[in-house]
Amino acid sequence: MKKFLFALVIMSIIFCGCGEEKKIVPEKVLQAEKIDVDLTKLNANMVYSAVFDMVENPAEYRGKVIKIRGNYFVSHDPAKDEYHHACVIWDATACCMQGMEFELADGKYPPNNSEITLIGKFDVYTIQKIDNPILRDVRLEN
Amino acid sequence: MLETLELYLEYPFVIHALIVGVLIALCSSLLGVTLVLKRFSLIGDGLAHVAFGALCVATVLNFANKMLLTLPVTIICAILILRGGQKVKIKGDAVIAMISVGSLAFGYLIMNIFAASSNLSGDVCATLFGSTSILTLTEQEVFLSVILSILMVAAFIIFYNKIFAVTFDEDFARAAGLNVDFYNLIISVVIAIIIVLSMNLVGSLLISAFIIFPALSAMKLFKTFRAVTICSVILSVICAFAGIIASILAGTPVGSTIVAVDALAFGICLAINEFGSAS
Repeated sequence: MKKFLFALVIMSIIFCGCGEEKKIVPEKVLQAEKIDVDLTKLNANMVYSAVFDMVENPAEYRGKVIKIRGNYFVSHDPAKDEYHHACVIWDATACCMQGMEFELADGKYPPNNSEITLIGKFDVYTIQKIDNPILRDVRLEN
Repeated sequence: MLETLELYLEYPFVIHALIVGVLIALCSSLLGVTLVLKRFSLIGDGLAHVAFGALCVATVLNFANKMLLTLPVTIICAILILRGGQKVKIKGDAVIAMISVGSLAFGYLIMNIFAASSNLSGDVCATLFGSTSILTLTEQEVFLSVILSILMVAAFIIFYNKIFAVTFDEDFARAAGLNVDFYNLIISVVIAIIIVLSMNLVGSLLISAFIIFPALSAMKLFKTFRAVTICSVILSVICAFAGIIASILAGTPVGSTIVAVDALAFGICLAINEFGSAS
């Protein structure tokens, strides 16, 4: 009986180990899918406040992978002839908004004012001593 | 729902909102009873509009911490209304109305003329209705709110007996040797601080409700000053906490939700009072 139980335990360990082995996902895929801050799970107020927090404390979010949903908005800076692409989020009362600038990895931007979901790495760039948050290497999610 | 709440509580700004919300609720309800009994219920509304005007000036002048201008201006106006109002020919309610609408109009006017933001209507809406401002507090604002709240509670406890005397009968208090003007000055200063702090929570148009509802609800249940004050504090803290949690979960404007919960609590207290009287 003891031998049977011992064999059963060993077999269980082996099979359990095999089961876990099958679930292992390549590390690169895991890293690509890892999202540090998923704003799509939050409601309008929370998203607005979370983006506000990112804009106010950019250093705390640098390098983190962010997933965000909002409206695409493009603006043109005539002085530098540059285009700035942003994901705009409104609060519950629709009187306040926060924008998060982003750069698409493939450069294929959607139509203006369309709803978009982005995944990208949070970064900060400085213009005239003011830190501006930006999402880099962004990919659009359908 | 609990999972959602658990997720939301991981964000530090939610914890900040709960801390500041509960502290403001506690402070505003302490003085709410005194204001209602002194028939100064609408002073919150008047001073909130003054604070709005001062906030507009601070915004136009690009103040990093707008409270540095808003707080002293509101304190000065509170003193003018509560003390000066008794000495001039214009009566108390007219002074409140005059300063209230004047500040509101002046603030909106200069915001329009010297607009510093591209989203003017959004800024004004956020200030008037609170919107999400309690969820967007900086650490500096949270720290300042905590310090001011502690000072206010301490002032109320230290001067409790004097405030009690001044609230019910100023003439008797004066005859008993109390410096009534001094204690009215303290009440004015504390009210002004509460108004400025509350603006972050419920917005300047809803502050009156935040101050008055818990006091009125408590008065329906209890009759003594101490019992009404304690009940008012408990009701206000519970309503603010429940309102913030409800607004975060439902995605509704924070200020309006808290006031709605306060109104609901008043309805329940009224029903309890009516039921008690009938039986």
